[in-house]
Amino acid sequence: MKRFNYIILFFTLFFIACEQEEFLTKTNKNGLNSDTFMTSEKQAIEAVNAIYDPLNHKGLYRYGFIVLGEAPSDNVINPWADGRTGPDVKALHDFIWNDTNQFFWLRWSGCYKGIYRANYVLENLEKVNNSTPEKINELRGQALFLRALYYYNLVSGFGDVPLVTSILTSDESNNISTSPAAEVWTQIDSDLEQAASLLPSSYSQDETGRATKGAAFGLLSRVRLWTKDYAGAASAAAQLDNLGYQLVSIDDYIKMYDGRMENSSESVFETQLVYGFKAYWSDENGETSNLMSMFPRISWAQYLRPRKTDSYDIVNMLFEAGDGRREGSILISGQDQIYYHKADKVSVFPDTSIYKDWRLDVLVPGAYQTRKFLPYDATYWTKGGRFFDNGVSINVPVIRYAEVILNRAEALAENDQLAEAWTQLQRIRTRAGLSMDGISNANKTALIDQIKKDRRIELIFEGHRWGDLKRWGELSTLNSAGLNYSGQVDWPIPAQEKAINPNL
Amino acid sequence: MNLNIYYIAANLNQKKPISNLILKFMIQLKDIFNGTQIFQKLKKVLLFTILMVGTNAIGQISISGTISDSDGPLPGASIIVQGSNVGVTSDFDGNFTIEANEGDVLELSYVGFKTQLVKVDSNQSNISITLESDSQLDEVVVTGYGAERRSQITGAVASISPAEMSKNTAATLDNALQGKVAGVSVSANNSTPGGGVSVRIRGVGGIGNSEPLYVIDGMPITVSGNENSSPLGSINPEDIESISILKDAASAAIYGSRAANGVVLINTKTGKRNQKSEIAVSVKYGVQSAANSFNMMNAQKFADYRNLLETSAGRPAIFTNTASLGEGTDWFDAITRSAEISDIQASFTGGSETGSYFLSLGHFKQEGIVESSSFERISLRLNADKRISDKFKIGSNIVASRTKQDILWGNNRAINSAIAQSVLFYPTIPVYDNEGNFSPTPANGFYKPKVNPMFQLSIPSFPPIVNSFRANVYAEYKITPDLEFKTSAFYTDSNTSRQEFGSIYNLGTAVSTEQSIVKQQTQSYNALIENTLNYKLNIDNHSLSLLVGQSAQSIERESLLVSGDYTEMGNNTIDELANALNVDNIINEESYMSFFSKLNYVFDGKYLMTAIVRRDGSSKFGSNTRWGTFPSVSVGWNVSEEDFIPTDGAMSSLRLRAGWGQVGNDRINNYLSTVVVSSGFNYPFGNVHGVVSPGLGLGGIPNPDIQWETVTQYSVGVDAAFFDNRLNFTAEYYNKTQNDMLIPVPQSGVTGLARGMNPGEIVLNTGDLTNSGLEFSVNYSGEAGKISYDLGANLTTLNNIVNDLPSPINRYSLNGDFVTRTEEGRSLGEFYGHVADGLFQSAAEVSSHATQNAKTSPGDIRFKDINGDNVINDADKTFIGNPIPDFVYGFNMSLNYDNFDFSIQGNGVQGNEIFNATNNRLLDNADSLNKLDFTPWSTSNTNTRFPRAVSDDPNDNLRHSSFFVEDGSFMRIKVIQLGYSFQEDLASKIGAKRARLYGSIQNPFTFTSYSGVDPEVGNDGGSNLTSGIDNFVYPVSRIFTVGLNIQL
Repeated sequence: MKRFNYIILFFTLFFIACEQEEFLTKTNKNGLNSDTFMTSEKQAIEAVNAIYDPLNHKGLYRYGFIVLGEAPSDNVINPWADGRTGPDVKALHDFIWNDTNQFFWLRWSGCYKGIYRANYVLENLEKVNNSTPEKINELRGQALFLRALYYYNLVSGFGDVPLVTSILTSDESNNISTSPAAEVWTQIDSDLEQAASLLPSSYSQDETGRATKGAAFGLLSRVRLWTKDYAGAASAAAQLDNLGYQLVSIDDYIKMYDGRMENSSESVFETQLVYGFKAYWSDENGETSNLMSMFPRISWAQYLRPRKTDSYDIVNMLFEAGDGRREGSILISGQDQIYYHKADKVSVFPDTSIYKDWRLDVLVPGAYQTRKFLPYDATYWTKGGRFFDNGVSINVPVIRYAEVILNRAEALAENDQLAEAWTQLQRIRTRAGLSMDGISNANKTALIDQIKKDRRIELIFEGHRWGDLKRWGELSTLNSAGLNYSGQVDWPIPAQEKAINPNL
Repeated sequence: MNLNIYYIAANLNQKKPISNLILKFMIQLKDIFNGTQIFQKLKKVLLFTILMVGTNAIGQISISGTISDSDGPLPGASIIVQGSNVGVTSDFDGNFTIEANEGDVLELSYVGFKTQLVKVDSNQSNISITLESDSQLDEVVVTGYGAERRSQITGAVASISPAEMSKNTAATLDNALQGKVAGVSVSANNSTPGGGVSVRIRGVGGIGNSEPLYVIDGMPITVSGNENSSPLGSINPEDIESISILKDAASAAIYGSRAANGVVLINTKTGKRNQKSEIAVSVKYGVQSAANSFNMMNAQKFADYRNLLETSAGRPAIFTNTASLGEGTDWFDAITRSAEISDIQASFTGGSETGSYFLSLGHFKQEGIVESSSFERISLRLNADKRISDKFKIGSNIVASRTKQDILWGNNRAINSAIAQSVLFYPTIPVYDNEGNFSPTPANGFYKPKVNPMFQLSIPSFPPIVNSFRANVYAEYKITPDLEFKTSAFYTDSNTSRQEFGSIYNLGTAVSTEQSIVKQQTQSYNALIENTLNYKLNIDNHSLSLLVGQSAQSIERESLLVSGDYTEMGNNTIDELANALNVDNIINEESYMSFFSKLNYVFDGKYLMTAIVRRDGSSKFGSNTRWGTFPSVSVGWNVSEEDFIPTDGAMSSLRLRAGWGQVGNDRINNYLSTVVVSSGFNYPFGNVHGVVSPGLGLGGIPNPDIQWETVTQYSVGVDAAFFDNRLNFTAEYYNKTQNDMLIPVPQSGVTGLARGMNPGEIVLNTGDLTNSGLEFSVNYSGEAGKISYDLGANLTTLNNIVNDLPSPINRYSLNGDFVTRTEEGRSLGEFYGHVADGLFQSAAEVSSHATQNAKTSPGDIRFKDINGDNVINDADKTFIGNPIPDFVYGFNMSLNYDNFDFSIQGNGVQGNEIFNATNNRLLDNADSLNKLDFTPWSTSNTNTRFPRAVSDDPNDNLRHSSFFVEDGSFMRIKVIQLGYSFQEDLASKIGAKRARLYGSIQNPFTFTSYSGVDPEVGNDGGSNLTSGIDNFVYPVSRIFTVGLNIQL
């Protein structure tokens, strides 16, 4: 009996005396310790990589760029709406802009994700203890460029937005007020100036996709058009001439968008997309786009077709004869040729003897189909396994040299340097296979109009149109295409954001 | 008069301490005053006092004996010499000694037992009496860390007899709890075999996990909200001896920080002492079919409708010669089947003077009524104990089980589910083509690239297999007759393995070029050591028991998932050559340290008090906040034991109870007080397919102050029995408030924590919510001629209000908008949207109404302009329905006639609404898939609730609105069973002691006005915030069963 009493004593003492706190302390083993994170160069690089990650999220260059930039514009027609995303695309096109539209939220949250991660890097780079000043500068430059790019994607749409340049507590984030758009533009400008001074002009092959000096200057040239700092825009754009960029030939124009010529000599900054990770339907996982929503062999993929109505035919209205960009941008049913790997031949679009599963609307002769972002091989224009995977991994351009030249042309013209502007426009038109006949450098308005028209054509379906119209104060021109923007200029701040933050 | 003196004398003989004597005297005084004839009694006291000294006992016999019930010694029973005030109570071992005269009659009584009279005979100085239970009123009920008599329980504890449960053919025991007791509402979340169940005790629960804590043979098991699989799948319901439900905080506080949602105590069968070995075999076999089906368009109607949509939009018709299409394929019919269910159980029980055992083997197998769904369980259990000496006992419960559940592909309830994809699939496509292969989906631009659902279901599936091993060993040692020490060690080890194989196929427009492989292994281990000291003291009318205990628990789970693709079929394993190779490894660890104490005090069998306190420490919280203390107190009064209550009237017993207590809720993920660096924020620099550069960043915001959620509950109840305990009635009121709720609070997108459409969230202690309601249960047992019958019913009202919530919580995204909204001042998860106000019948009606959409036309749904601004937009959304019932109820009836027994069980809910998201999809004209068989509004068919047929829905008729909200009340006859027990002589012919043959029908009738397939839609993912949403749930089956139970 005594022995048993000892056992009782033992158990009692053991459990009461044993280190309770130690027993109750469990360390999270599912990740690195946040206190010591970013002390090494490797971790700093990984933290910078994370800033890039939202670029291929749905609100940004996975899908949002074209939905927010083109759907509310005269480049497209979008009567179709199905599934999880469709109604919101259509609502944007119809100018029924509810603050519950997912694209507003996805753009908003996607950008702030990038901004948060950039701020985290900028605040913690000092902790890195095994790196070189050059590397730290390069990383700082990337963080600044990306923060500016995300802010650009916010302010150009929403106008006034919260301006955050440091790590906030959750209470601060949940109660922050907006800053005037002008302050945000100033921040972008200064971040880009600084980034341009820190960034290298190029990277090794396996680092392709990182922000360069050219990217910083290129974006700066666009940003300064928004702030009407035309001299600044022109000079920023001019920097790129010394950085080795070259327009590709008109024969290669389409290759920049069909997977054959990613990261070309014309590419200044491009969203990198690759296959092999699935998750096509995710809003942010995987490394692919949602541009299957335009594929002609997916029955529901009737989104953002080139605008063609009884009174408005984009091909006839926009493209001059001989403009090589037309075929690179728009496919005309029964007329244009495409490549079919299955038959190993080039044949008319859509060839029903090779594939039967064409969308009904493209079977109508003369129907328009967006060409940019369709893979070269029509095999991939469908859904199904790896083909599909491959089909949605075409890089999306963020800044092209052609745009920077057009920025420069516009800035110069606005700054009354018409001759210089004319020269820049000529570079674009020449590449497209067009002459400058009839375009004078004497009439500022006419020259600017021509620059705007060429800008629209050059950058069609790349997500610039709505922003350009807004910047120019020309949203009302949408009326002539049969659209009515109903006075909506800035995107509404997302409803779910306002529900959380009473100060918005 | 003399008798009182004898009373004292008898006790003096027992040499009890003098203090006890005084105590006893005081009690006696009190007893005396309790009577109605106070004056008379006063006189007695006076006389008593005078005679106390100096009078001698004459002619007495000392009688000693033992009182027991069927389970063993009965402490605290009273033994009174009839017609006198002489009385004693039995001690802890049921022993008593009393002095009486030859010829006196001893009255042996105990609450809940039939009183027995024994005549005093000088030849018999030692008697052993076994009292018979009066009714189930005083059954022994398992409570936390012990068992108590029903008559002495002060908290709200319900118990369910396994016999009642087993009438229901259910794979898992949670399902079988439905409708059985007041205050417990159960709804199936997925009717697939072994599917998930929501069990809610007292109210609908809170914002987070609201499942009760299960304690199985002493091992606490926390389960999560679940939809696809019940977490109790590995438990064989046939092994269960008793189920008790600790409904209120007053009883549940003994489980402290994990008891906020109530506690379900499950004890498994054991052998009895001195029980002859017995073999019991039961066999059950049944056939199931879908209780209801979808009413979809047939091929011809579908084609006509599709053509109408196309032509009304100015496009060419799709189908020609629609009449030739005929009926086409009914895909729901194609995927459902008549399915078998079987249950074979064998058990061996027995016991000697010093030990007992229970050994069981069970095999349960249920095919699902939808192809490719099933559940199977094999279990083996050994419960045994051995008395080493009078003081020392050891025992163990060991169980090994293997379950295999095949669930349908796709999400549980959603447009991607197998059910939805089948029901919606084109009726114009046959299941098989002329060659007997699965029909391809024609690649003609009209059909979506969706694969033949039957093909999909035919792909061999590798269901999750759960192997679990649970064991505990315990030792009990009686330090003194009144003081017992128990130590137990529990160990659970379980392994879940899951595999999924995709398939390469080419079925017309639907093509897959890769074989995907997913393999997942989850290993979990759970260990608990527990020590308790139990002290019991019975002095006369005082009965006291004190429990103190301590426990430490440690839980570890690790899961490893590997997935990848191959371009060729035939791979069974996965290696580094797979495409899209992905590895996910997650570790979870948690630990608890607890100290607890419980004090029961009963005075005179009438006045009852229980006090509990538990102190818990948990690894889930930060070092400053990890300890919490949970107290409770409850009192009871057995009113009918009072002398002033006549016992010869209609009322046979009456008890009042009241309790208050606090319990905690710790149902949050581990590690929320700190944050680690998340990976996966990758980016493909270098643009090489299949290659990414890793990106790392902070994935959250730590909350070092995170704490328990505290639930404070009070309740009052009354238990009454009438007509010789034939009629039992219980009524209770409860009020349960959750404070500092653990809520995932949505964060601004500015925090950078958003994931897709979901904002970032931080779990904070904030807000409060109250569940309150009334519970009634009534039971009547009667006889009419040779028929004996038992009628029972229970009803629970549910009131739920969110008192305080920092910001509304929106849940269940459908078409990009949320269906439910939880907001301060309302109840959990109410439906939110527009108010549909019929259809526009004319253009004039459209133009005079607030602007809905430019193209709104007659035949479109009219929505109410809630804010009166003459425009219908998001600002006109409001609360349009509540998924929480006003009350839930259950009822049962059983009849016995001769050797026949017949029973009916049913349950129902009343006053709840369902959001019919299924209809939302079945009416979606923008989608080419099949439709509900309906006739749309047209100028020739204006008297309908269904809107016009228009292909792109310009009015957005499908927006969330009250159009899709329906009354979800229903009453279901759950089981009808008829049994026949063979006469003993007949049974013995087959070598059995007893045998019973029965047949039953499950889910024979459901009464509802709900238009969907079944009104029991449960909770999506087991969450209260997504309750009552019908989005293609697994169909309920009707089961015909025959069974045979034999005892050898």
